[in-house]
Amino acid sequence: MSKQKAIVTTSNTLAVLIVIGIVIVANIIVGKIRGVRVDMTEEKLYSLSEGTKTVLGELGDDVSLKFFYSKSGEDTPIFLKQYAQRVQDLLHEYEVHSGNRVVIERFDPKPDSDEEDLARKYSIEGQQTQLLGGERIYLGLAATSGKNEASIPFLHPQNEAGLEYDVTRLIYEVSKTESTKVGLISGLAVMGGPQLPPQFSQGRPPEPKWFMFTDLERQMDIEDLGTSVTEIGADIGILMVVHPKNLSDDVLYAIDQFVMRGGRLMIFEDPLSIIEAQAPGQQNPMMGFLNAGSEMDKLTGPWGVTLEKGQLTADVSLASRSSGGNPLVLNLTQAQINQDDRATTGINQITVVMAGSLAVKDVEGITSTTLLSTTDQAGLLETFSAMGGQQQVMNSLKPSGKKVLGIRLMGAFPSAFPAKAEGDTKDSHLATAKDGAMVIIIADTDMLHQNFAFRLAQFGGGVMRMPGGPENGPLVANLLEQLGGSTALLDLRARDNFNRPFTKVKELEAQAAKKYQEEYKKLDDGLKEARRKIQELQGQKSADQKFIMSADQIVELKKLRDQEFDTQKKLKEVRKDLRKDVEREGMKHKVINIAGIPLLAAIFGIVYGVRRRSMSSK
Amino acid sequence: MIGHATTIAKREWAGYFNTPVAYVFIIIFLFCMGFFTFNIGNFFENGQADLSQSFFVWHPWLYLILVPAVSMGLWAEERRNNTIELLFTLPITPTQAILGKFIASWAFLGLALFLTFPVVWSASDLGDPDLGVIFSGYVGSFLLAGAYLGIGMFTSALSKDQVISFILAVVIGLLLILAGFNPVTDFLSGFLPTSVVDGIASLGFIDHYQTFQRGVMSLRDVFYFISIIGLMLFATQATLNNKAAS
Repeated sequence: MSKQKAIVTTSNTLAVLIVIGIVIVANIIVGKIRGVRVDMTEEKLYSLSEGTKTVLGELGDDVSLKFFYSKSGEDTPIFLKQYAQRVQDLLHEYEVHSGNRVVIERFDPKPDSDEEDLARKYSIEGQQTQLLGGERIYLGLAATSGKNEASIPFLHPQNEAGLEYDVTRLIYEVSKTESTKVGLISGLAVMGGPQLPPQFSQGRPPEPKWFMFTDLERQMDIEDLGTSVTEIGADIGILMVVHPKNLSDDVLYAIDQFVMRGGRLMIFEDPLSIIEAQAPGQQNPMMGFLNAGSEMDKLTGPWGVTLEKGQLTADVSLASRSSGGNPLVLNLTQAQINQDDRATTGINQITVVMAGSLAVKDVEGITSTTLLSTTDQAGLLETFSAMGGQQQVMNSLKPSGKKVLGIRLMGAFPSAFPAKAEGDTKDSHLATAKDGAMVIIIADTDMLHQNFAFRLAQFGGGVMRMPGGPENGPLVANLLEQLGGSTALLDLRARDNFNRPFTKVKELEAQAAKKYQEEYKKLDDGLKEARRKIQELQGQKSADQKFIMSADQIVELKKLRDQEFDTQKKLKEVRKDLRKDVEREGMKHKVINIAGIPLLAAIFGIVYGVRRRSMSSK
Repeated sequence: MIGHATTIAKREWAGYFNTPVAYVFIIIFLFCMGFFTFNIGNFFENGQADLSQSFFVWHPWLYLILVPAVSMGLWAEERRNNTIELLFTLPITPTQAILGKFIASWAFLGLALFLTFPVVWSASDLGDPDLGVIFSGYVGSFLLAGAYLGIGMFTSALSKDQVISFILAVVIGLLLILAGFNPVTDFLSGFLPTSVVDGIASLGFIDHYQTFQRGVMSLRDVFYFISIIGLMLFATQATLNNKAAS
């Protein structure tokens, strides 16, 4: 009997062990099956977006994606492993949706292996995870197609929301057959000034190239076309127009037709270029200020955008502290920089100086996206007011609502020169823009200059760029990159699902602020008035009562002091009331969740129990 | 076969509500969920209509204690009262009995989980939550509860003593939570090869549970939970067979 029992026990235990083995193996096998899943998120965060599908659909050559990941690394933290898993899931989607034209190769760069050398070849960077030595961990992606190659040195888990954009951008980069050339038409010596003859230069060296353009030239090919070019070459992919001052109609027409051909145009115009106005050699500062404006309304007007003529944008709430609070030097923060657009998202601070304001009008067939704006406390000032002191600027400023500082237009632009259709150029004239045309307009040129675009520090006689400060450089580079890309890339937003604020709480706060604002102001005014009267009374002693106040005055003073005390108390209460509604709302939800349903369950249980008991006793 | 299993399930289900234990459990369960979500997870103060960080994040830990409390009596009771022999002499197979009991308990846990719905209402009232993600979170939580229940059922079959069965279930559950936990994998990778550590980590609850919290329901995660449940039910049956043989 006991022998039989032993056999049964052993065979049962053995069976359980076998099943455990089967479960482990089955999970490993099923774990390798990718793509069988349902994406339940509202914005389909884990599925490929339309923009990516378009890019994959337009692939020229096949693309090979090389995924470097220290899978067997002992120091690879578990969160990175989980992230790497999600990256691989996403890459698998690329493979599937491209009809296997995107092929994924996986590498596990162990220390001192061939894979590690290969990773280095593609500038995939290993990350040191431990302070003292330890293995380098790789999690990077390289793409190759034909002769082109590009890479993302490290895929940061923090940037998961932008992962799809980065990968699609990478694929787009390598599948593109030629790099985009930037043509430049500039009224300012952004590429460096000419060497003037000695009689004019007064011994000064020629103006150096602007830092911004030195940076940009590292990433792209820039060709200075001059300000009298009448034919934009077919090799120019992006046209950058800076400070377009007195451009002739021929030049404007050339730019117009460039856009009509589906070109990408970026304009920096300015009611007042402080760089020009304060240029060395400027004889008459007054004239300098009045003549340092530029605009391209003739061209952009028919597209719905004009620069407010001779008007500067001022905004006290954005006034730069480093300029001593001058409301004409604006530090735009995230709230003024479009955080939904791929080119501007993640940019935290932009400095603009004596910028203009763009008047925007709807034009059929053109969609506009505001990239940079002010707060609704902004106002416009005449250009000459910039010469006055800061106080004068403050005094004459009347807030008149939000101003647009930067905008992007897309769509079927009409030609600004419809009359050319009848002239001698009518055969080649294009009246409407072809697909893909895009125009970005920024109402400031000074933001390109190093004095405002970066944080500079004096260093041993020269200047040095410091980290932090305005991100004008990345902004311009991003915008140019966007202009150079496929419009499909524009659809790829950073899809951030994490921010879903309690709108109701915000509303309640706003309502409370509105409701109590008036009361608060009234009380606050009353308090100020009482204090003023007290002061007045104390100073009002007439000659014959040098030191002593009259009885009436003493009574009055006491009354005022009481009033002051009362008002202060009431103000404190109003401040408390401001939070009252929100706190009440929070309490309501807490009570319902923590006590409400348990209480109902208890009541239900008691009633059910009592009924059962009475039924069974019958 | 299914017919007998559902009969057993119905009997067990009705049995729950005839004793105050079920109500006490539901009340404690809901109170803990609400308390952890609002007072420890700071759901309201965070100001985000997102349940994964303040609500679902506590489930693995609350189930760890609460589910064994439901499951510890499942077989221990029958064995103590010697009703188990009686059960197995009925015209039903042990598999049917096991399935029936499991389904009833799982449904009961599902009911308790369903009664947390006010938190969804709160999120929708205060903001604009992603309901798809919440749904997927609930599915993940329900599967997780099933896995804990499977473990609890198995340990209940192992011992006549409910306390021992409870403690065993908590220990096994804890091991499965910790398998994917950073400090543990770091410790293990000190002396085990990476592939083994990865294998152990992929057997843990957390990784699979979190996928649901992100709003993705994938085959491998559903399969994982179902396979754990299947394994535990099989082990339960083997254990009961062993005991029956003795």
